[in-house]
Amino acid sequence: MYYPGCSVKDYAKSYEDSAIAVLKLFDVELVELDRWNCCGVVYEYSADAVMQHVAPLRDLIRAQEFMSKIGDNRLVTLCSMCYSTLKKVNEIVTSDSEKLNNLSEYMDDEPRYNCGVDVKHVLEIILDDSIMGLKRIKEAVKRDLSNLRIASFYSCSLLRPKGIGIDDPEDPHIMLDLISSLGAKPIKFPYEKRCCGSYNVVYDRSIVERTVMEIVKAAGRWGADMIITVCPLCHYNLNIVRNKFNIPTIYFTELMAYAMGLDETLSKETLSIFKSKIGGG
Amino acid sequence: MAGQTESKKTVKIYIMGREYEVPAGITIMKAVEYAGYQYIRGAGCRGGFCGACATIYRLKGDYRLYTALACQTTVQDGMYLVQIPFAPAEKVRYNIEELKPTGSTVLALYPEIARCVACNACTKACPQELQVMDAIQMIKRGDIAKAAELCFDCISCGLCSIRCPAEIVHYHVFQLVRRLYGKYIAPKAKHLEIRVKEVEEGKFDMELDNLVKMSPTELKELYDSRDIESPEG
Amino acid sequence: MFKGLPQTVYELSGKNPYLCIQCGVCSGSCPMIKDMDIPPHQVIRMIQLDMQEVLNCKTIWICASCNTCSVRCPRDVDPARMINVLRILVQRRNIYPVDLRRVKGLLDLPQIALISASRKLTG
Ligand code: SF4
Ligand code: SF4
Ligand code: SF4
Ligand code: SF4
Ligand code: FES
Repeated sequence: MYYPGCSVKDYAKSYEDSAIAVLKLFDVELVELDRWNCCGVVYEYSADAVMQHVAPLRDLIRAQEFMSKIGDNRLVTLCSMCYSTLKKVNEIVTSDSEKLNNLSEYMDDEPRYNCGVDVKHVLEIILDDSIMGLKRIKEAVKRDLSNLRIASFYSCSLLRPKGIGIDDPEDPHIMLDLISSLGAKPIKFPYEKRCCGSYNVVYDRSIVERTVMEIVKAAGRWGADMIITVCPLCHYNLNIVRNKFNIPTIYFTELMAYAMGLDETLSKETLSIFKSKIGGG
Repeated sequence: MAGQTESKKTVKIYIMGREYEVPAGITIMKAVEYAGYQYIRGAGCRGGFCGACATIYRLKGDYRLYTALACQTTVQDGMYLVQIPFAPAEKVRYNIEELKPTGSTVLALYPEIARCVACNACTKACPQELQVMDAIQMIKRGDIAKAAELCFDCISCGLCSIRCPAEIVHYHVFQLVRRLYGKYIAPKAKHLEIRVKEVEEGKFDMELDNLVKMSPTELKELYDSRDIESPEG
Repeated sequence: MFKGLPQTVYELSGKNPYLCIQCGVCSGSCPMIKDMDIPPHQVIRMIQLDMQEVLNCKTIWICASCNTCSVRCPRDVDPARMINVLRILVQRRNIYPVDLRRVKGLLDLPQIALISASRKLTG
């Protein structure tokens, strides 16, 4: 099952297009939930928070209903913030039956949630050897990207908090592995697990501008041509300064699609980024 | 009084906390008038189309807050009710000619949409039985066409808006969505373009002038003898 | 168990503020610290000391909930969670740091920015 999330349907459409195309190449189909709502993007920590959990729980209930139709309980997201929110709330209602009771009573317009949905980030699917795995990814590469130096930017929600993050929060490596498998040069740089400033872009844009300036500048110092990320908000924030350093940030699935020659799913803009970085292609 | 000639059965209702005994089977609107109130606001078409008669009520022994159109809903015994003729809200000013039909446009004008927590209170409140929450969700993900389709039958009663914890003013938002849809997305209606041109060219000026000159009785006659399209069309 | 703010924070966060040993790792890790008026470790200290004025600080709104401090805190105090709780305490008094209708440049922002900001900043 596939939960897209609002941004992926609009601002980050290129993320969705490229992800679906890449997965299709490996016979993995993302079946979009027939009905879903915005998950709320962030998770509210207060122990007595109820309202903030309604939206993600409603999505989990939709997934539960949809699950029986397609016979698979994995709910896959692309956006790492959606992943984090859905996963966290799934964890809460599964471990805290009182909370689930409260929520169910409030959401009397929906069936009760049975805690059977498994929330996954698409990277987990991609890296799972029984589904795709790095070896098969390597075999599917059609282009020579050996001159391309790529830094990875993990996004907070993919690494933290503990138990939700899917990689080592202090020394993440999955994106680097992916870059190597695609034949490009992975650039490890100290800011890869930094926070981009997130929603502060609404509160005070200058805070984010300064933060991403440091990040992208560092990526340049470590020799990166471009940055890949998993989060539409990181994508937006990092790209605020793309022209200053001539280091664009793209979604990792776009890189995969390009490496595998799936050009028709990429936007003209993305293709021109690759052209300018490796010339021709 | 009309009530005496109607059915003997009566029900007890409470209008703004005061008890009244009214004939069973009549609408809330009629009951309010039966009780002696006169409508100055809060009633319009009396046919379920204008959205002026939004009403909230509770029933004895039931915690739920129900919503209804006073002109469409029959009174029930033990109804505590009050009418909400207007959900206070300011309409944002915009020039439709300068807008793009995207979700971001709507979000930028009405950013409170981003606060929707998917509680579904709006959907439960809608007397038109619209999927109000889903319409808001479609805006969030940028699908203006789908949003416009979902809110097409909104009559701007405002009941959803008084229930919304995110303080969204749905009826203004939906008006904007339908305008964007009509202007930029829906296929242009040929016959409408032709008619607008005809109006501009003055084809109907004479007819209009005649109407203006008519006396009220003449007008009434004309109105009563007009052709009525059958619903099957 | 405790009194005042420490108790409230303990109840809402499920974490014990008195476990903090003021090592400063959280503040040293915080990517937003330049824009904060009070560094995260001091926020925790102010909670310990039941200083209500911590609710007026800018830090609680600047914190991006990035959780860097929380994964590094040697005492599992979870500063990110505590700051979030302070934020909620303020919001429950109907006080918000931003008025969305007054924010400039909304048209260009991706949904994810606006939605997360409205959740974190407007309750
Ligand atoms: S969408 Fe809201 S304003 Fe429109 S008819 Fe339904 S309840 Fe009334
Ligand atoms: S009532 Fe408001 S917050 Fe609740 S689902 Fe409807 S629009 Fe969203
Ligand atoms: S890292 Fe933990 S123990 Fe150290 S100062 Fe911060 S909250 Fe206290
Ligand atoms: S969660 Fe907040 S306080 Fe902690 S490191 Fe991130 S921005 Fe700083
Ligand atoms: S009076 Fe118009 S809808 Fe009831």
